[in-house]
Amino acid sequence: MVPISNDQASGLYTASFTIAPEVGEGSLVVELVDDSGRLLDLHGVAIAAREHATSGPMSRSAVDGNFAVFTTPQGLPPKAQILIAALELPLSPLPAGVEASVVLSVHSVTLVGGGDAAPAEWSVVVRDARTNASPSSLLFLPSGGREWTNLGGTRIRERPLVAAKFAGPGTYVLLNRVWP
Amino acid sequence: MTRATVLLAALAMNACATTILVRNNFGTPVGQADVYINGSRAGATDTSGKLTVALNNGDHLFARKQMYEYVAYRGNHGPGQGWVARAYQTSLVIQNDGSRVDSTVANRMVTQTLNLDPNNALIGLHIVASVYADASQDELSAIRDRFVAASEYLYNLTDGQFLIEQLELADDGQLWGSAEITFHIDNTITPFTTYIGAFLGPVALSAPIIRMPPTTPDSQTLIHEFGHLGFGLADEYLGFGAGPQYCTQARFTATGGPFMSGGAQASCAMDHERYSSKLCSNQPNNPHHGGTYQFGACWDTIRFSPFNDATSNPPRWILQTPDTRGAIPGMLPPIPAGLRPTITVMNRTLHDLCQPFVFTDPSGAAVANTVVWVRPSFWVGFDFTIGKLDYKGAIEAHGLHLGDKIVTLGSTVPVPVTASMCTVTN
Repeated sequence: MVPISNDQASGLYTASFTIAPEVGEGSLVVELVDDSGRLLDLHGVAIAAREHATSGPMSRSAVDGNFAVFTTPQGLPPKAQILIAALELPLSPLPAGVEASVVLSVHSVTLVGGGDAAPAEWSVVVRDARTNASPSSLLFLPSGGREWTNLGGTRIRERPLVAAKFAGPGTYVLLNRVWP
Repeated sequence: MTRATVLLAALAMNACATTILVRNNFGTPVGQADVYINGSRAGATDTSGKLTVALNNGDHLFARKQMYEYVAYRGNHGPGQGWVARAYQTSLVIQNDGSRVDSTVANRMVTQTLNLDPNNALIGLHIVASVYADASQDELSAIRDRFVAASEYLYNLTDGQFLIEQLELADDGQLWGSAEITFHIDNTITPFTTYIGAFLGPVALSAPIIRMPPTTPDSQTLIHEFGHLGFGLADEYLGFGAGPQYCTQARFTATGGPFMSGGAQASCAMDHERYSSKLCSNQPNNPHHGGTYQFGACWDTIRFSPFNDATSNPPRWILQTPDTRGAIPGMLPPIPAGLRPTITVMNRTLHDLCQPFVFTDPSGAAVANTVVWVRPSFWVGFDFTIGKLDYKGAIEAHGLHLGDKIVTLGSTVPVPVTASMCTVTN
C-alpha cells in the first residue's frame, strides 16, 4: 500500500513510491472497490526509469517492451533518466471522436535530470501486434499540452512495430485506425 | 584369476588403447585439455598432454582447452563467484565454406596428435533463466528445447565460435535476481533487453536482463536479444533518416543467392533473426549497410569486445570474423553432441497448477484488447496481469491455479478458475 492524495480541482489522485535504481522498474496496482469492499475493477501502471545512455545508441523500453525510445548520446546529460510509463488510458481526455476501444497502447515519457529536448535523431517505436497490419495512428500529447497531434508512424518491414520521430516528453497513444 | 592372467588381460587392453596427444600451437603438450571422440567427451589429458583411450580407425577427434573464465557478477552462476563465459582454444577448424575439420583416426596403433590453436576460438556461455510464474514440466521442457535450438543458431551465426555451454532454468521466480533471461506471465510482453552490452559486467548499479513473454516465440529471438545483452549490438531495423533501415542490401532486395533474405549466409540477426543466419561484416560481397543504430558491422563490435582476448600477448584466443577470414562462412554442421548445453531444470512443484488454457471472457469480442487481471488464491499476495484479451475476447492463461480469480472489464464478478477450465498438472 502506498499513500495517495487527491487533487479535487483536477480529480486526479497522486501516489508516491520509490523505484530502486538497481531495479529501475516499478508498478502500481489500483484496486477499486465498492462500499462493501467488493472488487469492482483493477487497474495498473508500470513505470520504467531508464538511465540515459551516453555510450552509444540505445533502446530505452517500457516495462512491457511494447514502447521504446531509441536514443543517441546527444540530447540529455549523463545521469539523466527517461521515465516511461505503460498506461491503460491517458490521464487527459482522448481527442474528440476517439473511443477507448480503438486504443491499442498508451505510454508516457518524462525526461528527468535534463532538458525537455527532443533530439532529431531520437525515435519512438510502438508495438502493433495485429496480424492484419491494418492502418494505425500514433498520437502525441505533449506534457502540459492540450492539443493532440498525429505523428503518423511508419510500419517497420517484417516487424509488428510502428516507428516515428521522438516528439518529446508527453503521452503517446497508438490507435487501431487512422485519425482523424 | 591368477596374477599372470591379470597381467595378460592388462596387456590386451593396452593393445587396444591409443594415446592421444594434445599440443598447443608451439608444439608444447597441454594438460587438462578435454578430448572428444565422435563428438562425445572421452576425458582430459594428463600433465604430459596425453590421454589413452580405446579408438577405432575412422573415429573423429578434437580437443579443447579452457584458456579463461569470465567471472559472473550475478549470483547463482556456480561455486564461488561462478562463471558467465569460458574461452577455449580448440583443434576444430571452421573452413570458409562452413565445414568443420576435426582429426580422423587413420591408424589407431599410432599416437593421435591434436593441435590446439588460438585461431580456433570457442566461447561457452553460462546463462541463468527464470520463469516468473509457476510452470509445468511441459512448459519448462519447451523453453529448455528453445535454448538447445538457440545454441545451434548462435553457433552457426558466429561461425562456430559461440554456444550456450550451461543453462539453469527455474520456475516460480527461483533464481530471479540472478537471471540474465526472464520469462514473464504477461502475454503482451515483447522480447527486449533492458540495456545493451551487460552480460559480462553490470551497468552502474543495475544488472540488465532480457525479458521474454511466457513462452519464447522462437529460439532465434533469444539470440537476437542476446546480441544486445551479450555482444552489445544495436538493432539494425531502425536508424537515422527516413529509411528504410536494413542491415545488408542483399537481404533487403536480392531475390536469389545465399545472401538474400532467408539465405544460408544472409545477415544480420540484429536486423531480423528469422531471416538471417549470420552476423554482418564488411565483406565486399555482403557488407553492412550504414544508417542503422548499429554503428558499423556487428562483427566489428564483437571483435573489439571483451569476448576477444586483448590482455595477453600473444592472445590466448582470437575470434575470427568474415573480415579476418576473407570470406563469409557457409552453414555449419550441428554442434558436436558433447558441446551441447548442459541444462538443469528447477521445477518447483506447487499444488493445483493448470496447464495453459484458453479463457474466454463472458463479454467476448466486446471487451477485446482489455487487460486481464488475476487475483491468486495462494501463489503470491498481490494481483497481477496476464496480458490482454485478443480480438475474440480470449486469452491463453499461463501459471494459474485452481481457485485463482480472473478479473476483466467484461466480468461483473471475478471468474474463479475451476476444474472445468483447467487440467491440473501438479
